[in-house]
Amino acid sequence: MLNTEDKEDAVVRLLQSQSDILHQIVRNPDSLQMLEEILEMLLDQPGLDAVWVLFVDDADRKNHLLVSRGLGETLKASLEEDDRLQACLMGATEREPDWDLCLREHKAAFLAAGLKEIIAQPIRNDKGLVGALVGASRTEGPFNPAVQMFLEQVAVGLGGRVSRQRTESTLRNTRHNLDNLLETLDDFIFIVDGDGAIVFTNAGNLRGLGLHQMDLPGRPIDELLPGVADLMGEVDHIATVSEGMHCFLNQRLDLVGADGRHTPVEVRAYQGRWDDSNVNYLICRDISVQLGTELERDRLVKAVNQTRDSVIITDAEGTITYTNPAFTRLTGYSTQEVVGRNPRLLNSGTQKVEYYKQMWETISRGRDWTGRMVNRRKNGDLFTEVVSISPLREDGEEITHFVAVKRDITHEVALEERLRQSQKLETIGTLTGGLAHDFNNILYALLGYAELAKDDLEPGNPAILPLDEVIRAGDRMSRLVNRMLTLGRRKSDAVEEVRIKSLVELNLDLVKAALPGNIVVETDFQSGVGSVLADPDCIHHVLLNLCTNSSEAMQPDGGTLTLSVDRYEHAVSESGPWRNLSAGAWVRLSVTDTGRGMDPSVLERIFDPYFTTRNAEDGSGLGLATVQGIMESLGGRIFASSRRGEGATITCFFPPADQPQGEPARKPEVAASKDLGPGAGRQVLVVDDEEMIIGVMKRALARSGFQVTGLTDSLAALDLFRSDPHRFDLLITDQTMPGLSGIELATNVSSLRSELPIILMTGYSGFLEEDSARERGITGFLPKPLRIGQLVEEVLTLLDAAEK
Amino acid sequence: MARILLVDDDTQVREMLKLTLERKGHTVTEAGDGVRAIALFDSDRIDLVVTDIVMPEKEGIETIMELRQKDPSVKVIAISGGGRISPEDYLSWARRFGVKHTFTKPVNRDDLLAAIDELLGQTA
Repeated sequence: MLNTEDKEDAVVRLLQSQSDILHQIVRNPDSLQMLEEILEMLLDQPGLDAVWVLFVDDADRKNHLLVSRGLGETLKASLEEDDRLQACLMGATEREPDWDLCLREHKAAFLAAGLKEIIAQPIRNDKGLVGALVGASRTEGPFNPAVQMFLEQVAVGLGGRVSRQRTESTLRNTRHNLDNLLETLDDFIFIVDGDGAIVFTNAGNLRGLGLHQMDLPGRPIDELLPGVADLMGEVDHIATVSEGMHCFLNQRLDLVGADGRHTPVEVRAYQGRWDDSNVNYLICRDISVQLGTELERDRLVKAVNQTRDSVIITDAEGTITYTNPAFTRLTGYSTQEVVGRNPRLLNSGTQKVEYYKQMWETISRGRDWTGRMVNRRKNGDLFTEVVSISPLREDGEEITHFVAVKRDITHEVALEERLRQSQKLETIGTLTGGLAHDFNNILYALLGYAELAKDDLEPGNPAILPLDEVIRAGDRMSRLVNRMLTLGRRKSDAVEEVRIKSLVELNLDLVKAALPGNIVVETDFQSGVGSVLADPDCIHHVLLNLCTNSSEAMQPDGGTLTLSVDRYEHAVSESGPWRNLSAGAWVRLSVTDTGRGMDPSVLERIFDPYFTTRNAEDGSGLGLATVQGIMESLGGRIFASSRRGEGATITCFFPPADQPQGEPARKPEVAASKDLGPGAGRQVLVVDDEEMIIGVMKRALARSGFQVTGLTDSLAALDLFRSDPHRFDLLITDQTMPGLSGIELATNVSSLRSELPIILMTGYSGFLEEDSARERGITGFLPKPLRIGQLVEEVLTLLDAAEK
Repeated sequence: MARILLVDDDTQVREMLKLTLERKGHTVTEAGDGVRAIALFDSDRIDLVVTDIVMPEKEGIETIMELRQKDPSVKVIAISGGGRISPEDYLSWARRFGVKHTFTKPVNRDDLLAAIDELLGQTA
């Protein structure tokens, strides 16, 4: 038995324990640790030699030994594993009828552990029985009532603790789940308080922006999302006026990273509650990839819209769903007019049905098709295009659309045709030229002998008739040969007004094709340069010759060839490279290369016929001489400038056929100088059977102020002169003409007016002795082909001499 | 009648012309090219020259130029069947050297004989 002192001591310990245990129950956040501490303290109580706690698991509704003190290993194992024993102990707390029986059944196990008395207290929470607090004593006899009461109090305390703990753990789990969820989201979420400070964010994904979750709460959201304050203000306003209706607003903003980098985001702002305060929820979605895709798409659309090739997209049945602006420019049909229709509306009937059938078969099988088609514009004109059709597949499966890219090659086809035609004519010319010589000799022998045979026959001889037929057949053959010769010769009267810039542009592709791959062609074309009078073939010849020469000067390393066309106003007083170029407006075409250049000695001779720096087999040397001939026949000039190692420029000046569009009339001082030019008030008669030559000379002389009359008929010229012998101050005549030759005309004119200066144009200056020429009244010569500069010079010299 | 120098590289044409001219009573000296023609012109007394233009060795234009240097009053008739360029183009060169009478092959016999008569008649 306990003495009084012991009793007092026991009460004090009990009170102390109670206070400690309650403190544990209330304060210790770790449940298991709390239980262990409590059991430790209970063992200090008199008469308690073993204590343990059983708990019902929510998940399996089974009892588990949670913690224990003072149990032997064997009993502890039984308590952990024996369901019936556990149930019995739990039942004991409920005072179930078979409790005693149950205990008796297990008494042996407790006695084996030295435990003779058992006391069990239920642990309950708001949901009911959740466990049992069990104590055991080695001492036989009833438990001290104080201890019984104490155990009961502890069990009640534990029940309350369990309730609270479950709520907390549920909350903790919910919070944990939310955190996990937020971290897996690709969207950035900010909870922002009324002052614009960040309260919460799922910063897991923000690490890439150099921001850290821990640093973010408290920071002003405006630093991260400049401009978001306005958006939040609007949302708040709407929420107020709509009386708290759930609403949100979207806006594209930039999220600023720690390194100042901007990430485009789509921000969705809501009004909401957080910790009992009004806040804004901001959900931001990174749209940089989406924006990139949109930009890419914009670029593609622009490319298709701006390309010079026309593009048609049709569905799988061939119905047009899209056309680009180039299509409209080419065909004259607007997109609205053709969408919903079949591309066969362009059909010109030139291609056979089989052609289209083969095309459809190819593309329906999923293959690309490329071909040439002659189609019809809306206005009825035909055009030629190269068409390339490709099937489009959705996800690589079914063909859903066809896309056709078409390039207008009408001009190229025309050029090709022209080139082919001129090559054909050239071939005929060469062929017939070579044949004609032999043909005509053979024919001549044939005809001559036939005539001789006829001579030997008496009149009335029947053999005369067949011989006449031989002669007639020979004549026919001769005419045929001459016709072939005429066909082979290029006509020189194809002069027309040529927009030289357009012509050069048109020829550019052919020129490029003729040059080796290591030559880069650059162009510098001024707009509004106007037209020149020329044969387009001649200009093509000039261009091709100059470009080929330049290209050869740049081999083997290659280089850049620059073609430029502009309008140039030349003042006579101007000192510079253009020696003897007449004043006034010119259309200038320059070809510049970056090749090896030329020494002055070479430069001097490059326009000489048969002069070449190339090997004999590379070229005839006629190129630049021919170009010069063409330029002078057009009334133009050609110049070359170069230095060794510094490339070369060949510049051609064409007399303009008109004033360029939009340009005011020629400047007054130039007009005055033209009016008062050295030839002002003087009349010149030009006689040449070639109309073109007259045209060229007229322009050249008019430029210096002369008044020029041109005639192609030498007899008419003589008549005109007879009618008014003093009308003209000077006569220029070609030598070889039908009717009167130049010399004959000169002789006649000179007999009417002996002091009149007469210039004879001829390819050979040596064929008339100067004295014999004088006798016929010829005072000057002009070589052919004509050089305009020399023409004006010669005319002025003779007029000056005549006046003296 | 006159002594005529006939210059043509085509033997058949030359033979035919020789026969034609001889029948009109002329004496004919033949040459197959310009070089031979110049030599014969020096050795024989020639009244008139009928020459082709396109020939080997020395062609017609050059031959005419040389003959004219030797004798500025030489009478020349040029005939041509063409070659790389048309016969008319070749003959226009000849006309520039003062050859008044030019004919394309095949030549009309009467025209040729008339031209010969005209040239010879001028001296007569």
